Amino acid sequence: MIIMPYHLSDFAVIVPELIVAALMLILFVVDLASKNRKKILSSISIAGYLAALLYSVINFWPAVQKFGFVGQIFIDQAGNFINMVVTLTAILAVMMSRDFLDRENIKDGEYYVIMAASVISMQLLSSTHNLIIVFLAVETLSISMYILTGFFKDKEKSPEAAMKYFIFGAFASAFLVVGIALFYIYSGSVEFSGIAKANAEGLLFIVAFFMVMVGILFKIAAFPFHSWTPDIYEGAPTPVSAFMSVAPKAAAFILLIRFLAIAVASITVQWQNLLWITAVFTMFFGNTVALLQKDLKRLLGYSSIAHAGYMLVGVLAFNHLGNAGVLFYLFGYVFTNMGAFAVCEYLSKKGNEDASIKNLRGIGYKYPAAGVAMAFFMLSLTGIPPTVGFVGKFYLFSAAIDAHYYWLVILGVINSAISAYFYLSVVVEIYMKGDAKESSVWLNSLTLKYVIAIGIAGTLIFGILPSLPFNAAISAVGIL
Amino acid sequence: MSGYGEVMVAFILFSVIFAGMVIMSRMLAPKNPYKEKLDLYECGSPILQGGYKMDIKYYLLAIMFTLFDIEILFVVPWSVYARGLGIIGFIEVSVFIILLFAGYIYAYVKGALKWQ
Amino acid sequence: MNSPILFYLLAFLLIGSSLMVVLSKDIYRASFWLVGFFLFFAGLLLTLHAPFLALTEIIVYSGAIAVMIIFAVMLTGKYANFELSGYSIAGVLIAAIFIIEIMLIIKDVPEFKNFAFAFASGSNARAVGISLFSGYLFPFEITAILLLVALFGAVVLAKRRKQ
Repeated sequence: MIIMPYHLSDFAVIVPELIVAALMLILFVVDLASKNRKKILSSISIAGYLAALLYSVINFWPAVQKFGFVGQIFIDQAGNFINMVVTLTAILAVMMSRDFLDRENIKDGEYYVIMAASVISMQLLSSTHNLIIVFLAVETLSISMYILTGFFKDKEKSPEAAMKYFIFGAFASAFLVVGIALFYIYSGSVEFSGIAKANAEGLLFIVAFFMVMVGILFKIAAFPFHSWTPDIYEGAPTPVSAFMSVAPKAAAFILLIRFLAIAVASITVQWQNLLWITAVFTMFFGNTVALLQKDLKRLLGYSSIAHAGYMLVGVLAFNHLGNAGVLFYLFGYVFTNMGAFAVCEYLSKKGNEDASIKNLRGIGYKYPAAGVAMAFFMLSLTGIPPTVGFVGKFYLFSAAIDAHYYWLVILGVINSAISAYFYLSVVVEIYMKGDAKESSVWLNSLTLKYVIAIGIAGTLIFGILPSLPFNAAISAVGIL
Repeated sequence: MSGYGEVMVAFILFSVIFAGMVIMSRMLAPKNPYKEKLDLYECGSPILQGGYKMDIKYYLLAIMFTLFDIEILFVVPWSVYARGLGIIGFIEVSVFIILLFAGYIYAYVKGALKWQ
Repeated sequence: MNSPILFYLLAFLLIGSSLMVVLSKDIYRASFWLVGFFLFFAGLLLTLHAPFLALTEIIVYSGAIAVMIIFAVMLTGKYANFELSGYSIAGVLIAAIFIIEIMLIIKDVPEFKNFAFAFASGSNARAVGISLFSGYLFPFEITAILLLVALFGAVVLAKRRKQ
């Protein structure tokens, strides 16, 4: 007879996951039962994610780490913070999808079910110290994302993007799982704390470390593993690109922070050197290649690589301010990037063709609200006050200064200056005289307009009054 | 460990029989090789140029078979020690199977198993 | 059961069939040799006292994965008759580097020797069962969700739109 090491009280630790799992089940049943009423699925999704979001907000305090399931999973403030980011992103993505899927004639209700599964996996990823759970969550997340990328079956680029993503992702997963196996061989444990006890001098430890880092850096699209990003963002349905550019990165960043701070703390100097190079290359690559882009979604893809680079600066500062800066940056990034993608979707034609920047010409006069919104999001992505993008960058760079990474900060500021060129050229295009080649019907969706409004509100409010989320982030990184 | 001796004997027997069948047919069968024989599915129809159109459903079935095969693999450790794992183990494996049975129902309702 | 003769016999067959996978000109035959490879590998694992892994090899690899590979070959049809020989030198080189690397790691890293205990402790299907259904139940149930999502994806992406 086996002894069951789990208790009923363990379920208190995974309430956010359970809420979304219940949501997934309901979506699954409703999708199977109803033939054509797919809009109800989006309403149910929003309600479910809202419940999970509220749970995370209400239970944010006190600052303790509550373990369950023999320590495999826990709930703490950092996990709750990322849960908020992820569920908020999911709400906005569902709102963006609601009318978009109708227009593009995507009738499969699985879209929402798979999105719920990906949210569960991100919640798990943000609340574990166990590499087995990490691997399962990363796999669930990756598979969900491959499928969501390929949802545009009518458009040639979408299945192609899904295929590319799958091949790259399979490689990254293989590295991750071999890394985990090597850690287990070396230290006899898959827990971060167990790995930390092992002797970090061994060759195997270093190999395992590199392999796990490949898996994580692939998820955040850092320099040598970034090349999938623009193609996939271009090919995927726009709400999926938006979702993918924020939520999985948030989960991967908290994982990266925890992994570096706990499991491999004994080689801090070495991983800081490694991340220094990665961060610099990521920033420079994202920003310089973005200069050449003609397509708005590709531009946002390269911009998201660059932003991952800025966040890596915060990670490698390796102090409270840096880690909190990363969390805050992710929080602000939700509003700014989802907003930018929402405007991009609003201005796109059926089939998502022709998202080129040239097509934005003159829309600032034709659609004043959309023009102002886009200009505003571009300013925030550049990092110009009074936007949340500026505050986030300020925290990240001041954390790096605290850690004496002066050169890194200088390079980061240079990068912001480079990025200003292409972000502002979008703004210039919007307010250029003259019309786009063809005037066409834009996507008329109420929920999409709400997303843009929420994006503007978040970008502005947290740009002027950052203290509430920032204090939460500072408290959250106290215990990792 | 000796419990697997029979498995091994069976395994070797199968291998020998299988290899014997292949070698015998090689030696006894008349040989008349030409290139078209290597093509797949040539039921009297003229050989198509530029490739065949095979239904993606075959592959879908293969993927579903793989997934349910992996499910079987996870049930095996339970089945070899079912008595020892007791009622708790039974409930646990039931949850797992029910979750995947939902997947089966899904595939059925969506018509993925139907061959139009 | 522990005779090294059996091990070396199976290892010999394993290497032979894997060479046939690489060398056979016809991709269908190569995929059937791959099935043979999986079976011999399963036998090899049995001689190493790893029956659960052997079972995995037979159920998943020589069962499902082989079917998938053969269907994939059928789906690609004539396009699959490409010439592979152009890559042989690069392939041999990569294989050589990989083998040397593995040998170096096994030779230099003592942890691999400590790891051998896992293969000498009786029925590991039972051991896997015990840990899977007690301490690792939570990851086990996540696996169900993972498989479910994969199934959704396969159905959604392969399904044709009704029109």
